[in-house]
Amino acid sequence: MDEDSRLEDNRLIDSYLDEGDEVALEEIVIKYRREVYLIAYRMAGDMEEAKDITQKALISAVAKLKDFKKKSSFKTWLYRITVNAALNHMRGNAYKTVELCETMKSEDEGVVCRLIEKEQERNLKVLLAALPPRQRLSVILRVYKGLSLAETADVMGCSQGAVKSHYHSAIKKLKTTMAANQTGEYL
Amino acid sequence: MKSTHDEITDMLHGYLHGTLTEETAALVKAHLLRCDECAGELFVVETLLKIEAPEPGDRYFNTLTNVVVNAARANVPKKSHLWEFFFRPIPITAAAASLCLIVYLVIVNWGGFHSKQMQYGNKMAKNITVDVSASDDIMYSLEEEYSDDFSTGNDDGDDLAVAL
Repeated sequence: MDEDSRLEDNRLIDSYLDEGDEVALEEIVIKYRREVYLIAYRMAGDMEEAKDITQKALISAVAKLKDFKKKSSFKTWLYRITVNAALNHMRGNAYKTVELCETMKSEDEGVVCRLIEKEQERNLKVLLAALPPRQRLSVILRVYKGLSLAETADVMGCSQGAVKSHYHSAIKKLKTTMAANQTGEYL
Repeated sequence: MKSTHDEITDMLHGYLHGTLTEETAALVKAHLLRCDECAGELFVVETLLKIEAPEPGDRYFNTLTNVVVNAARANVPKKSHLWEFFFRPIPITAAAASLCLIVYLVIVNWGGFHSKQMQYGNKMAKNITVDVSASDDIMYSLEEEYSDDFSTGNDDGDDLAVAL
């Protein structure tokens, strides 16, 4: 499945670069625009900022398309560009607060349970936003994008050991703070 | 050497996304029952996955696609041919300017060389004559001045002597 997707991406890229096929370019953009937006949103924590980052990342990726060597998958390459765009954008807005209003899903029917869950999710989102960028990034790529250690290392431009270290530090922090919040709530 | 705990930790994502085989999934499940650390990590990851990102809507995505395609269209470099280089406005202007400069230099340095040399030679000769005559004049005027002073002094002395 992944291999098919990769071959299809390469075909579309070749078609655009060699023949100037704009339909092929459009197909690629349509295929990945939501993925890029979601990474941008998880990184920035704000919809409007995520929109800006998505646009910048996609335009930058298309401009650099001729430099894509096909050593890694297009998806990984695009994620790397998105992550860099998000980090650059966030450097400019270092003190911006994180948006808290967002849609939450819950499969639990009970109103109280749903409220508690919602509160937990809200807290976790704030905690995630407070993590150092590389720790946050490792969580976003591993948890939300389901990337393997090797793919995450490729996107982040570091070793697999470093990814493991960032990821486990992040999860440990989130776990500890969540446990502390819960204990505080019930005391 | 990886411990079982580390192996299970690496498999948690596969377990959550349902990509593990039945046997491996059962192994992970059994480990989760006795390992608080892994169970805690799974809980955090599950809670993280419940956080949904707000959808910006189809309108945004469609506009985004158009913006990206238009930006790509604006950035596409035009295929250039070698012959086009010679017909570009800037090289033509530069070539014309260079040609004019060369023609001007040839006229000045070659065509006008002899006349300039003649003029220069005449001028030098004239200057020398002028200089000689000028120095004579100066010498003459100096002699005249000193002789006047001398005579004047003598005259004064005579006058003084006469007065005494």
